[in-house]
Amino acid sequence: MLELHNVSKSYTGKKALQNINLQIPQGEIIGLFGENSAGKTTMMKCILGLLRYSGKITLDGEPITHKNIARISFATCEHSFFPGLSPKGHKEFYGEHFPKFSEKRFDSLMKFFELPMNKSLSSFSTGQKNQFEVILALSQGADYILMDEPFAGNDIFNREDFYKVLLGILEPNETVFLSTHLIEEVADFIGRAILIHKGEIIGDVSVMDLEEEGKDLVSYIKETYHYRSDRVSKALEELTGEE
Amino acid sequence: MKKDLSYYAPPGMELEQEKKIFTIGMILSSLFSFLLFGIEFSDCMEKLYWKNGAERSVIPGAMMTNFVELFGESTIGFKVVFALMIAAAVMHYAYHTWESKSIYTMRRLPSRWELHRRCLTLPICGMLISKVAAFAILLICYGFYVGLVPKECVISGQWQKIINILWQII
Repeated sequence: MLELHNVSKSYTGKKALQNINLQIPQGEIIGLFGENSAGKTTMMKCILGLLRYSGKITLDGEPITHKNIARISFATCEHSFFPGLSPKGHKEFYGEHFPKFSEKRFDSLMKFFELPMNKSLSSFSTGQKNQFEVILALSQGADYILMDEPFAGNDIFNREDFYKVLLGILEPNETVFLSTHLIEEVADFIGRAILIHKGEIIGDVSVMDLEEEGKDLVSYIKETYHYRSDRVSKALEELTGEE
Repeated sequence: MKKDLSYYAPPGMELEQEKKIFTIGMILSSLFSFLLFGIEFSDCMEKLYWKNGAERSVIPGAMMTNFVELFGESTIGFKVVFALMIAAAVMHYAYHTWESKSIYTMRRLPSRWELHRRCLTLPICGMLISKVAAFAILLICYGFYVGLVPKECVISGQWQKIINILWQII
């Protein structure tokens, strides 16, 4: 279980996360939603120890250190691969550093996405780079796979392929914590949705519970964010002077 | 992973340019050291003798300039190489934020020192090599000094003077 207890983070006085309390058990696909600068990336970076924070983050009751960090992987739209290294080089590097790195999964995903094995990453297109970033995160052998808007720049076909693959390959113990703006696309396969707004969790719901209440995820998110659907028409009226 | 030089450098970093700069730097520094010392040495040696046609004899009471003064800043090239190695170390860290944020991967590796090992090993080796090379050149030049300067012209305690300021001159 990955647990966040009263986690807060500020950037030069501005609060990015405020008293976040969260429990993430193994074997779930969880969506993390929020507007830009809501705190999604900051939360993930705090979990990974890439940022300092106040509060406590534990993995099965233990603080996250170099001893257990291999149990968490990370795919980010900023990319965390080595641009001068080929996928083959990455495979060797990850194999050397992550004891549970799955060469089999890596090779299968490389083949599925038809990525070249011996070219340096800097020669890849943005879409290919995103795919490779995700491949690394999925192959690391981690129990918790954090993904921060990993599909920015990928076309819809590409993303759909990825969702299918993701659902097909995940083991029961693997948890995906996915931050994305593509709510409609992921609504069908996430089991839980966490909503964050201005550094605070404002919603945490099981998709199954929503369905039982006869709601869909998009409506729930809009409702929670107090989305005013009439604001566009009102703005247009003001701009054009027409009713 | 094959343990060649790239094993001690940031993953995927092109090392050829650095190797070339280091090699050229070491060669130029060595040549510059010998040249500078050679010019100073021959000038001072000339002053020890008087010439009468083809004959030359040591001027009575003439003393040779101290080795440390002659050697002076001969190894400045190696100091430049040393500074370049510091710059290389900074560049190795910065490499992890170019084009991607591979620093995230390096910082979340189970092996805590991997980032520093890959960023610092080669620059530190380069620094040590530059210091050892400067010291070796000092020894060679001192060998010339001891071998070529007439014994009666050498002020005693030369080696002690070298030891006293060794760190400054290499």
